[in-house]
Amino acid sequence: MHQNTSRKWFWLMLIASGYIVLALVATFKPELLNQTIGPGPATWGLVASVAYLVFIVSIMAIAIFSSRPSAREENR
Amino acid sequence: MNITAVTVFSVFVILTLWITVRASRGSNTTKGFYAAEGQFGGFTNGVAITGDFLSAATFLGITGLLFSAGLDTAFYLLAPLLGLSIMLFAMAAPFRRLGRFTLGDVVSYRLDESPVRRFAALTSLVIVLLYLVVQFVGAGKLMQGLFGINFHAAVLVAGGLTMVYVSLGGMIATTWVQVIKASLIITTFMAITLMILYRFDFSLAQIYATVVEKAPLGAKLFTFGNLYKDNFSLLSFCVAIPLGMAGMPHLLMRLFTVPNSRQANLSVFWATFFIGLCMIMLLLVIGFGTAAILPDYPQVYADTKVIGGNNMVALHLTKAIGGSMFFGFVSTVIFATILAVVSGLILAGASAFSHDLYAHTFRAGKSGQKEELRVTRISIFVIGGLGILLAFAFENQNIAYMASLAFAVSAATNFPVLILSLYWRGLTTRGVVIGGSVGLLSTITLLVLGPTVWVDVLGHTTAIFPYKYPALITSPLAFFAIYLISSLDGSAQASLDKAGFDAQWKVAFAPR
Repeated sequence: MHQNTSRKWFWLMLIASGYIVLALVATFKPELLNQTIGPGPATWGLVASVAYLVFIVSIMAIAIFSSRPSAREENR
Repeated sequence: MNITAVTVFSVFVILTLWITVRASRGSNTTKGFYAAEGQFGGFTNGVAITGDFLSAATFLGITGLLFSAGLDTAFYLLAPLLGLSIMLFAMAAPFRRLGRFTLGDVVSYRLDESPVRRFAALTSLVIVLLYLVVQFVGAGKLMQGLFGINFHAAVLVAGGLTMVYVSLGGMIATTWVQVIKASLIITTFMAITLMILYRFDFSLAQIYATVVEKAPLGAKLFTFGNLYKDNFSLLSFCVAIPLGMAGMPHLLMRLFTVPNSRQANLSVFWATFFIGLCMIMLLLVIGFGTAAILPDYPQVYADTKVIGGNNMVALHLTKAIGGSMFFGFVSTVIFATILAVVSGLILAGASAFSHDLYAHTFRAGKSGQKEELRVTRISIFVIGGLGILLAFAFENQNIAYMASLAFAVSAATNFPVLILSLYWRGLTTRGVVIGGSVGLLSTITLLVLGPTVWVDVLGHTTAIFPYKYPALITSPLAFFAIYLISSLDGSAQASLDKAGFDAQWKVAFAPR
């Protein structure tokens, strides 16, 4: 597999793994998530906002690095 | 009648019709009509993808769910971001390099064109029609409430306007309508967020403390386990949305409106940014802000239930924080949202029919551009008309559920076929057609045997398949069926299909 493609798959798998772990924990052990998010609603807001921002900024950064033009870029 | 709503609606319609007339000059070729000549940059196209995704169901439905079920709704917000990540990292660039106008172009690149295009067009049309009905019913209900006109007339107005946009202006008009609508809805999200924060001295802690104090569920809104009563439904939903989103024809078609794969990547990048921004506002402020504010307004409740159902809480909120003028503005933005999404859907459906079915299957590539465009314009009115008739039939169905069906079908058909065609050498034509059909038929069968159709529509006492969402079964089943059929396929065509993989790979991933 081309190096650039491998790198993209690595990042995708990383993001997908986080999502899958979260979905499984929320499904089978919601109390674990509730304890982690606690102790109170205000703390939850901060945790969620930071997690969301990190998630999105990561995607953006990776997107920028993975969208360099290639020499064989066609323009059909 | 709300004067603000009528004014904003009139301005929107005049502006978009003017754009449509101007765009019609550049829509005389198939490339102009289907792909806007690839003239849009990554930023503009990213805003348009944001518009395609941020439908009325997203805004009204998610706010309603956060209001009533709290934190479980986080998956409605996380799942699309995973879907966009799949598009960005695995699909956008190769998809843009291999295709011209439709999903069928990409999937049939190295496979037998005719059967593969027929399959791709069929699944695209099923998905488009399901989603179209959702949008039309939403538009009809909204206009009924806002302007006091009856449901059927409202659907006809929405359908008529969108068919004019698409048939005259093609992808150019559809994209600009989407950009205007996305700008309006992002501005609306920001305005609502600021108004809620202002009310609580810009303190999230104060909003959440008020929710705990006043909302019926109180602190439970900040825990998981309120929305999904069984594990299967939650996991099935978590599968359907990201995979389904990555196979939605109207979103994928947008990747052809940019000049190259770099701009296709940038489109998804900007879409991720704007959709993520709106999701943060929804999750952190608007949803819980609604739960904190509405209990102070007893007039929006009747017998402890919100008037109009939970889907209306966002509109009740706008009236509570901004008065009837702001309510009229936001309502009209939501209607504009529906018009824009419908335009994109009709265009995707019409192109699947005219480009994949008519031009490349029935006419075997012998039709000229004029003939193909004539068929496209006819199919716009046929698909739009069919959508309107189905909306009349499904007037009283749960539209949020029907929207999830479109994602379920996409996750079990378009997505597995597309991702395997890009990355798996062993995929064969027979694998796509038979394996993909297994995905489509199993999804439809389980939906019919499930509680929504078997019990609610057909009147049986218990459902044969006990769950509403089948994607957790049907999507892996489709992957397995495609893999099995392709692996067992020893035909001459199968050898040709596999032999074409290297050439496709070189084009798709353009090594330097």
